[in-house]
Amino acid sequence: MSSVLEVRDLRVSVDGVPAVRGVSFDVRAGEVTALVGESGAGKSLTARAVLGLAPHDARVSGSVRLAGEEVAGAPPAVYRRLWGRRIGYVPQDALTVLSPVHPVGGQLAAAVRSVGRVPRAEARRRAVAALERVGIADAGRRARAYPHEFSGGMRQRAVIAMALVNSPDLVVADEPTTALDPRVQAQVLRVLAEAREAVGAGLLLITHDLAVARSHADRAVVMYAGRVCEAGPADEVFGSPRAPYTAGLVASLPGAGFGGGPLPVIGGSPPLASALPAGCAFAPRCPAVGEACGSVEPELGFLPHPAPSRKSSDAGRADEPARTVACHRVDALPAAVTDLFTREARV
Amino acid sequence: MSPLLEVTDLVVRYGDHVAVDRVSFTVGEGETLALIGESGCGKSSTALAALALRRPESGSVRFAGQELTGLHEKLLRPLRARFQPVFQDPYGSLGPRTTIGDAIAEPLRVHRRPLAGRVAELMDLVGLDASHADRLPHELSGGQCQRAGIARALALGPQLLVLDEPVSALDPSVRAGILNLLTELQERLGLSYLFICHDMALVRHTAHRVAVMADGRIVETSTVRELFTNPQHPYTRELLDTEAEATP
Repeated sequence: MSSVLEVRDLRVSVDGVPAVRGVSFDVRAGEVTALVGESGAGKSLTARAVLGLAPHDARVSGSVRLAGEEVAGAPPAVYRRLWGRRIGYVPQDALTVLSPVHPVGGQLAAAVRSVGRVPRAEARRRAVAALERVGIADAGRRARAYPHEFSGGMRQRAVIAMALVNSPDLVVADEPTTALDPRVQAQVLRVLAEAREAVGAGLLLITHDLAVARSHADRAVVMYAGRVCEAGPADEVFGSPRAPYTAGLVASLPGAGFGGGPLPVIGGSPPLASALPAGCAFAPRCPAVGEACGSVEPELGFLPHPAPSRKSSDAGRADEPARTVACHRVDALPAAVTDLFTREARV
Repeated sequence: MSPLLEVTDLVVRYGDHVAVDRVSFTVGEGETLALIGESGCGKSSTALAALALRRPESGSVRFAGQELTGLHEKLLRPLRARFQPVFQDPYGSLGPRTTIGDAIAEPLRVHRRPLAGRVAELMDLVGLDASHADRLPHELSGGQCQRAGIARALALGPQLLVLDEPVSALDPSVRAGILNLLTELQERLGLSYLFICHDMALVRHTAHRVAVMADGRIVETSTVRELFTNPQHPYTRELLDTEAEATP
């Protein structure tokens, strides 16, 4: 399937501080790519650069191809043509995109009319249909309600409806469920998947929640300190992580057991973008650190032994490695990289 | 032996809205009771009433056998040293212009307890470097701030901590460190926890018993093992299904 988004060697610096340092990944039509990482890893800035919403003082370089068109660092005039039509956006907090003083249906109809000449009645009909598609009951009546009359989950659905109403090629969702309860979270993610499939868009899902990434994404891209440290099919990346950082994240999740035994911990804390260590940015925290790690930053490379569960449909796509890892020590790591992480109480 | 915290038929009202509707539960010594439920179900209102920070409409809150409801603030104050809160937002719960050391010392000053060496001792207890005492919250990471919040809660030597979503604002790798710290402190100091949480995986890992709350009422209370293997209430089953869906 073709890629709706191709990001190559994307770099974003803010005030001269390199926050995104050479990130590459794809989102294919009809697929979900999760961009995973902790606060400060650069995932939101990557998303904003893709959306053409990087901060004014940010410098964007590298390549961002949206449905074949190069848009990296393009001015708003170019993006204005793409927003809504080519890219939909679902933010973390629905209230940042919904106006408090207009009914939800009117805002959706305005989104429809913003991309082309559509008669009012037709725009309104499409707005109601979009609300129905995201599971809002009695959509005709609810379309006249204001955002504050919606629950958090309903607002997020309305924003999803708005992002998809013009059938874009790509939807970028930045932590779309972080502020919601787990039950509502599951509903919203289901709605997002269904609505997205209906229009056939690719989804770039930004999240720090490994469980969400694992259960809702086809591919995962794990970021640490502005770089990609591991990428591949989501079930493989989280099922048998090969990069020490990914392994540490997976190991630190509470498992299926009872009784509060100590959880494995990644020691230390992530580096500031303004004070990166020499070599691999994860080296100071890495239990498998070796000699080269302190001097040379590792590049993303093929995994030497493709995981056996690799889907046959992925095989043979030579230009698109199924599994990549950026680690000097990848050959020297134990079979279960998560075993590297043990309990360390001190910060 | 009577429980450390005993809440009986608690009712909390905001105007016409009944936020907490005849809620009863107990927390034993050295025990963790998880209170789970969705936003708006009344779990934080329950916690505020249990901390005697909000006067309930009716019902009883007994701490170590002593009735707290209707007690004059003057008589409550010495008791307050024995139950302390830890909040969700590690930055917001510390003053932005108060150093970590002063934040930890504040409860000691309010209760006129000796300060000498105590702040350093508390910082060591929660795994914070003593050199951080002069820093402001924004100079620390989220995990370090939450450790400071826990140190402050422990300053007066409480028996019960009310933990309101203490790790939900933290990144996954930091979260594990704080959970380990809470487990270790419980073992070392024999603390009881009322643990407010909406993450089922965390509940399973951390709690001894669980009370499930929906629409202001507790719909089910049982041991953590029983709850996860044999849930009784349909709402509990729904919560568990959601978790199963999120972790294939």
